[in-house]
Amino acid sequence: MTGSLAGVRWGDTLARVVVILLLAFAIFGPLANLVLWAFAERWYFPHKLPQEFGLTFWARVFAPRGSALASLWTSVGIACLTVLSTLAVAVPAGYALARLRLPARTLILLVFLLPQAVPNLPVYVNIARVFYEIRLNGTITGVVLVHAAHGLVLAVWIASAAFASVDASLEEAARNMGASAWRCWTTVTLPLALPGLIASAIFVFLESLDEFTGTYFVGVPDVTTLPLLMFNASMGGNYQIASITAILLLLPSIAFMLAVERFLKADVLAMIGR
Amino acid sequence: MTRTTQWLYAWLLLLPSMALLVLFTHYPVIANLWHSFLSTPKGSRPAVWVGTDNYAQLAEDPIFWQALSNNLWYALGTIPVSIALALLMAAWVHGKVAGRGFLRLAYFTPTVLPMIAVANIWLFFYTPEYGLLEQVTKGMGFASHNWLGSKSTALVCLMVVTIWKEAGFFMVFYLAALQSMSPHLAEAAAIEGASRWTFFRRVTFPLLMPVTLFVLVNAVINAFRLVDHIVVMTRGGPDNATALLLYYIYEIGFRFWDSAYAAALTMVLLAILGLAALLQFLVLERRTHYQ
Repeated sequence: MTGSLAGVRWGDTLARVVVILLLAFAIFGPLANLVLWAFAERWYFPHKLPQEFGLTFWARVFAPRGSALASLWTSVGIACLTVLSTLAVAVPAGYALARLRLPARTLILLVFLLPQAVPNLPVYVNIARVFYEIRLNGTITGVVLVHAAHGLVLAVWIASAAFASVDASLEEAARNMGASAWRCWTTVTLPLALPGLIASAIFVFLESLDEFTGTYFVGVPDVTTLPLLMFNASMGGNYQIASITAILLLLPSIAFMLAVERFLKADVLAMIGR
Repeated sequence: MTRTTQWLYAWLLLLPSMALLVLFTHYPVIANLWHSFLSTPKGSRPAVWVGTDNYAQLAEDPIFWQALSNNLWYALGTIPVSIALALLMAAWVHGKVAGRGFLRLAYFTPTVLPMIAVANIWLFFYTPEYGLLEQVTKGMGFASHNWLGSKSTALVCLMVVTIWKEAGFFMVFYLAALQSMSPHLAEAAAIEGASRWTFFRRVTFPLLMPVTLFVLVNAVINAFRLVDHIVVMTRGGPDNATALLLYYIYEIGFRFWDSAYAAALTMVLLAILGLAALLQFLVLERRTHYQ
């Protein structure tokens, strides 16, 4: 009896190991290929692996006057500005949706929900047309505005979920003890909602960093962010530069993923879309 | 606070983000609707009202129908698989497995990668002759195959990329729901002698239904609004085999500069997505009743 149970358990474990290995190949296989390209000095058919490994292309990317470094800073700068402007409008909106009684709340939710379903491309084309007329095309401001509008929907959702997961009775208790509305907000509501708000900031930052289509239509040719640089390198057949740029793009994503794991708690996620 | 002042506060708090959204998503959509009834302005000829001409052109355009059917196959191929995978992965990392933290990280990795980087990664992976996929299949003794270059496999290759990228994202929602589920349910079922499969089929899955619906509608929307990977990997080719609706719009608008026809195509896409969004909205409204 116990013998057969142990046998079942062994088979179970073996099956799990096999599936984990398969998944690992599926997830990391393509990534490994990218890393190979990033360090390949020469790689021609029919060689299975690059003939030479080296860092020449890295040196070229990180050259003091290299375009990659400049666009990295452009990307990071735009992302920071986007986070600031998005949160400035998303936090009040999230609070209002989560806490205040609203007439036609359903309708308002619909207004906030619909952009999620609208494909970005045609929207950006129309925005580009308007921006061209008011001379915002090719400016950092224009790109930040587009990124902020793009990140806003998700930011409002997460912020609203974060506020909704704060126990309202804590706020009431603070007010009963004589705390002013402002004091209650700064010492109770905001600190409790902070992990969720940080998570939403992280999402917006990443979305902005990775955004391609909008920057392509509004920013070109004056604003070159990292995704645009990578697109150009890849289209030009410069695989090494494209791979290195891709890795530069992956690093912040992975760092932020670790942060999200910490900040985005299950109770906040469970409130999304309520 | 009286009811009216609370409404006032709420509106004031909502106003800035509403303005941003209306200006940058709602207004462009309405402008687009208007342009779909005009002709494309050319040189000295301004746009004139042409009624539904653009839509009539659409009905007779074979590439539009192909793009639409491509898109439906693409949706059909990506949505069920990525949802099933997400559920499987969530159930897995929810339980006690050695290296659980690492697994969660691994599943979530594709999600946080930018689509454009993902497209590049897979472009290398599918490269004829020296891509990793070719090396593995050749090592197993299969004949060489141009995965992205042949009509029969290109769309499937794009589906794999989409599933790879999406499954982790959906998993996060399943995982959150699983973790907020009471452990008493499993204990009660175990005492009653229910098998793990029965428990999943009769208890876990029904309780996850709201999440499944949320994820499903998101997946439908994504199937129609992702375009970056097509631009990088296949450009709609070979022979329009991977031309999805949104990519076709991009081509009409920016390779052939027919902005009016592109606007009409966009309205079709918006109608499909609007339907999906409406579904999501009705579903979300109903969700509360499940709790």
